Amino acid sequence: MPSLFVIRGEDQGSRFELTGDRITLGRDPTNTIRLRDSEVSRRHAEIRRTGDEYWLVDLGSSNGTFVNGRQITQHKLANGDQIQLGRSLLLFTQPIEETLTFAPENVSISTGEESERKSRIVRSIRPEEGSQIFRWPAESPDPSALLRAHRNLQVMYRAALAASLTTDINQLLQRILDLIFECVEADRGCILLIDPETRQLEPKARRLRYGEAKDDQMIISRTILDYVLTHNEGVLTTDAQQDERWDPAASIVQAGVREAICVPMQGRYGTVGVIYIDRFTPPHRAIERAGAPSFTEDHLKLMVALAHQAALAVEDTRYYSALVQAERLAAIGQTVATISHHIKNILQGIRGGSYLIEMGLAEHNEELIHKGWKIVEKNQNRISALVMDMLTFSKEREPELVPADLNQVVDEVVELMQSRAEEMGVRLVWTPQPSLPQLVFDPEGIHRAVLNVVTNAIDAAAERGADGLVRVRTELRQAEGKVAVIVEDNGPGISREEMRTLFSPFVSSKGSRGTGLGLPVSQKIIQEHDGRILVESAPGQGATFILEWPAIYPSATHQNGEASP
Amino acid sequence: MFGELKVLIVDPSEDTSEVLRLVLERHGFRAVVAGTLGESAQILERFRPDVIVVDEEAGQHPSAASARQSFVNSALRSGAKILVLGRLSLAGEKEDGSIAHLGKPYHYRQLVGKINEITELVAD
Repeated sequence: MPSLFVIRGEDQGSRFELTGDRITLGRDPTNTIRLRDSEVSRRHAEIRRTGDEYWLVDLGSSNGTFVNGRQITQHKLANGDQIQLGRSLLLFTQPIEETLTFAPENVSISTGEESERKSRIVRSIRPEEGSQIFRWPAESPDPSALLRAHRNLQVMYRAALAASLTTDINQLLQRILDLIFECVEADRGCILLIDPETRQLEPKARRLRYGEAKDDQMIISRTILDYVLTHNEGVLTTDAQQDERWDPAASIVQAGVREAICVPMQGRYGTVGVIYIDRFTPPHRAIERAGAPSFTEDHLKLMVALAHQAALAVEDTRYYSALVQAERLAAIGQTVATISHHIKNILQGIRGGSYLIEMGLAEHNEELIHKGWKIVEKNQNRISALVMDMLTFSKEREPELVPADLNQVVDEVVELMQSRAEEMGVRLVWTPQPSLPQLVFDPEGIHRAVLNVVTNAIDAAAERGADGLVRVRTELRQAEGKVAVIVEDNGPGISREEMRTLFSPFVSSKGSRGTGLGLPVSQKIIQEHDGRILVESAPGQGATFILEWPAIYPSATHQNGEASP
Repeated sequence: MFGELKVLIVDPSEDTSEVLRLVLERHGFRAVVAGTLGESAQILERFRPDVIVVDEEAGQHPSAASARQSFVNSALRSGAKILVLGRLSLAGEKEDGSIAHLGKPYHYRQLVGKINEITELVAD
């Protein structure tokens, strides 16, 4: 299924499958694909499906829609297209249909004596000779040489562009073959890559100029491949013997001529594979051409240069994939380690509480049982909060927007936290904005977001001892069209260093008491409301967290009890 | 009962340190609690514990490196054995058995057994 992969911007790493005939993109949550990028318009662009084609249409966005660096109003999407909306860059990918142009399993390497005997190398060049495709002999200026150099430069530029537009090796190889077929009159072509583990050549891409039955085999001579890989040279081969060209009785008159070019894909760190193309000239054409070859030295040089470009791209792609995989594994490892650590501590708490209950029961000591039960209960709440935070943080969710009373939601948080604040010697002061109207938001999400921030504030204020103070208030900022929940504490404040990692998951300044998920979860929820969390703090001077998001007033639809989409 | 064996518990979590204290007291130890490694240094002089039970959470933060070092030095100088709960590597760890480890989550009977083991006392 075609998809968009966000490679830059707020949603970097997100992948969206393109299902349906119309896919809208924009900042508004009602879009099929919602981008949390302030420079993206609310309804920015649309992807329309027409049969197998996908068209990108700009919907009159403020900052425009760009494809591969060019502004468009509408554009037919192709594999590897880079779409820029605001600061976000998205990669369009579409699985390649299995057609006659891509059937690498139909490529085999011959070891049979028959084919070995026929082919011979008529010209070979070193990879560095590939750069001669841009040369124009100054001594004897030949306009056609200049034209060729210009054309070759264009081909190389397009190859470099193709390499930069995709991180999928198969797509890249197919594009390279397409380019080769545009400038060399080959019948068949294929790219074989050396498997990094087995060191064996594996066919990866194949292309045919004309239709061919699917089970037709493309056989490449092992001798030629070995020569190319051992000598690291590009070769031009033919199965016609030198002296046959002028002999009407020779084999070319009976069987035609097959010429081939085979070049090494020489990268920075070694040879990553080979590109092979061939062309068959039927007997009557071979006679007409009087044995003149179809492939020239220029073709060979161009192929060598293209193969080098493709090799660099293959190396880059492999390196990038390995890097992504390594980062992914490291992130998984870190996440698992951190979560396991928290669960281990919670489990220890539960064991401690249970042991006290056991002792209390044995001693008929109700106070001990009560103490043990409180510890068990507290740890149950900790694991429940951890699971809820992990769920909120890990999955993409749409906020359930309904008309609700923000003061009531914050009131519930304050009420819930009041006893904890008292236990910790912190005064919790709550000032609701008078006459705050009903607004449209996700009450459950906002409850969680505010709860996490208030919990942190109480923990911070508790460090002040008896003077700990947390103030919570709501504010409707009509001029800005926003609503805010403000949480202030008089704790030790936040250092510049802590500020940098404040919203990073699993980073907590509270040691075993904190999971490091509270603030990232709050931020995620507020961002889902198109809002943000502002933090003002200086060491020793407490901290203020402002959770603000656009104030949406209930519409007639909401008044009738229907939730917004 | 094991008489007057003294245990210093170093654990920032009030809940788990309280459970540890109650459990150890019921097994005949005298137990005192410190919330941090720094706090434990002051108690060490006064209380002269036979065993110090340190939870990994007490010294895991990288900024606690110097506190860990000075804690280990003072603890070993005082002749106390150290039992680390969880995975906290203490600078200057020796192979002479003066520092033992018990993985978390542990069972309390296991913990008491370990304390008995490192103080070379065998429970009945």
